Amino acid sequence: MGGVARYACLWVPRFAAAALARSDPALRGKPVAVLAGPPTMRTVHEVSDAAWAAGVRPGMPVAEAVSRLPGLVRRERDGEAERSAAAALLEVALATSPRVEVEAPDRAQLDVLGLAGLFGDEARLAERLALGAASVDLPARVAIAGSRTAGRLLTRAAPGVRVVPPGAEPAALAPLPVELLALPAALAGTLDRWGIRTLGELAALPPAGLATRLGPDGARLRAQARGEDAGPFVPTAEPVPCVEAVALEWELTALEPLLFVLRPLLERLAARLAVREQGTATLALTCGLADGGLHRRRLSVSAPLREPRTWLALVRADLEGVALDAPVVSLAVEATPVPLVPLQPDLFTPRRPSPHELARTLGALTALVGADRVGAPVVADTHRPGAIGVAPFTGAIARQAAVAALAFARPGTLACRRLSPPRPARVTLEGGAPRRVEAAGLRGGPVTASAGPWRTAGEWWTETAWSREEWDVALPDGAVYRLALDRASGEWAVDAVYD
Amino acid sequence: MTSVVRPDPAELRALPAVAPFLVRPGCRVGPRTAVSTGLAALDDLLGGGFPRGAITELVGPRGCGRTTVLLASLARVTAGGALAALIDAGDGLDPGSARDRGVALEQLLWVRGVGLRQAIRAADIVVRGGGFELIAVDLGELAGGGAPVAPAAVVRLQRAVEGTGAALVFSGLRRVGGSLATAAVALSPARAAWERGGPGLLRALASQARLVRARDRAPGAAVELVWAA
Repeated sequence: MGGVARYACLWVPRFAAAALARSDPALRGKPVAVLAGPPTMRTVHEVSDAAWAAGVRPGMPVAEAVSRLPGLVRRERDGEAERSAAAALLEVALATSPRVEVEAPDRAQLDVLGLAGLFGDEARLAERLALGAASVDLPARVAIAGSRTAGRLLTRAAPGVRVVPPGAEPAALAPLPVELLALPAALAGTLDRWGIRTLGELAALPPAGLATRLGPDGARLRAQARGEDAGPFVPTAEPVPCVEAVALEWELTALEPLLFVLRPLLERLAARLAVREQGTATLALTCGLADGGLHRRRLSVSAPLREPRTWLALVRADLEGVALDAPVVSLAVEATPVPLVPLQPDLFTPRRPSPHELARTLGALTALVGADRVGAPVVADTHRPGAIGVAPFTGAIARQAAVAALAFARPGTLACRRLSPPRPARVTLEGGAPRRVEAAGLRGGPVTASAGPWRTAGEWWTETAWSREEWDVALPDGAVYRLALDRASGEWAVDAVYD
Repeated sequence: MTSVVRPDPAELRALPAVAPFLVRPGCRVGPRTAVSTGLAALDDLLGGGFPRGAITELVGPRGCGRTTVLLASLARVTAGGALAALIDAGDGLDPGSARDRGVALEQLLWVRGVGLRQAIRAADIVVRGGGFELIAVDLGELAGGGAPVAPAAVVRLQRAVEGTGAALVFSGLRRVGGSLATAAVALSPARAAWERGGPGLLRALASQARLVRARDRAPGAAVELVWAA
């Protein structure tokens, strides 16, 4: 201690219950007991604050817990939810300090020496950590002290945020009860008989005498009471998977309920990405099925996003055409975090959307109309009529090419509009030229003027060979249409109008 | 003594959009509050082009030249280095025809074959997404006798485009924006000119564009538009 080290302890009390409430917001504020153990001996593994206040304690048989609190909400322990919560807690820690030690899923220790200046002071740093945890729906306690042990004991002692100035740890720990050390029952009884109630009283005992009477445990307990760490700080080097998952207590067989469950998952994932100050361009969705199988979907957009609504709309569009083999019993969404790329505006080009804005727009459009209907038009490398396509729209600006294209183009010359789909037509010929045209959706009748034929053919070396004859015909409605004869089938169709 | 000129933020936003035209020979420089249609006569009629931050309507029967006007304006916008969007409700765009008329296809966001209701929603998404200088909603022939466009949807669109640097253009058989449109141009049925002799050729199509609604000028003015085939 003494100012050479500073650690922030980030702890989520009643972690299993907190993770469950994070996964199912309807449980927040309710008396919840998280159950564990074999089916014949179900016991309370963890309780929420409300259940604790009503006298329900971990380790109780379920029957006893219910007898104490008849309105107790009982839920099975959710490993997926706890893993997601632990990862979210670690992300909050890593967003503040690059050196984080994971002591337990519910607790992270951060090396914050020298970081206070980045956030103003240590109090603000601690507030930032608490707010970060709250942003991912975890009610965390924070303590900053000169040792990890001191931080751990201080967070256990009281809720909220606590900052102990360098060198003040013994004084801060002294009034705390010895029960915070999680003593074995026998040892707790011994200390009680000795009249030791606080950490300060324990720390003041002579070390040699304590070791003689209590053995190695005595020395260890005294060191803890003084706020001394037993081992070195070991920062984690493991990458944190950005996954949010939930195990369902019921089977989902329809899309809407699935999306209802998925929405909070995506919102929590977005909150975690916000903590990282990143987004994601790909989202992997894994549905656990009742038959034991997995159904995986992978969605991508052109640039990183952090918009749960857009992702949800994309998932909806993606799943609408999918038939699963069995009901869904679990869901997991994984993001691949990447930085959100800001666009440097250019004074000499028109404003264009940032990659993030564009991806959001394209994502929303894709969700609305489908991926095959959104993009940049492409002229296929063939003369086959109707051979058009859609390429991914990137927003890339080839300005010189565009200006050159305009220079060689014929702007303002007559364009044609495709009739989609082409209208099959009955055509009466006279002297080889169309004299009367009847087609669905058109005001047919005698051809008032015509030009043609123009014959085209292609791909005769393949099985998809085509050959057609085109005419420009003016019909009684005053418009000029393009009339085409498929020479292979002998069928006529009106496929475009000059407009 | 020096004087400080505080430019209008709307002008500053529009400045980059017109910069490419300042150096393009043979082109008129239109007001910065409008997106050029690419057709000088129509620009004159509209007072510079499609107004930014507002809805313009282009109406007329089949074959009147609406597609040609849209492609000319899309070509002008994309050549200026900006992005444009075409909400193609009737899936009528012929990319080859667009390319031949100078549209930089890579800069054109095409939302195709979506129907009337989805076209309005798609336009709303693109307008709110931002970054597109011209958003053309080609209703094709959908608004002819089918379900009308919900006024609330158009109000929402008008509010969304207001204050942006984008021009929103509706093209269809008849008007859908009502009084929410800042400008409206009606194209008359086209007259085709044929070249006789030999195989016969479609030489040109001529149409009259008449201003039926405008913010800063009296409606009724008309110009003749002629497009060579």
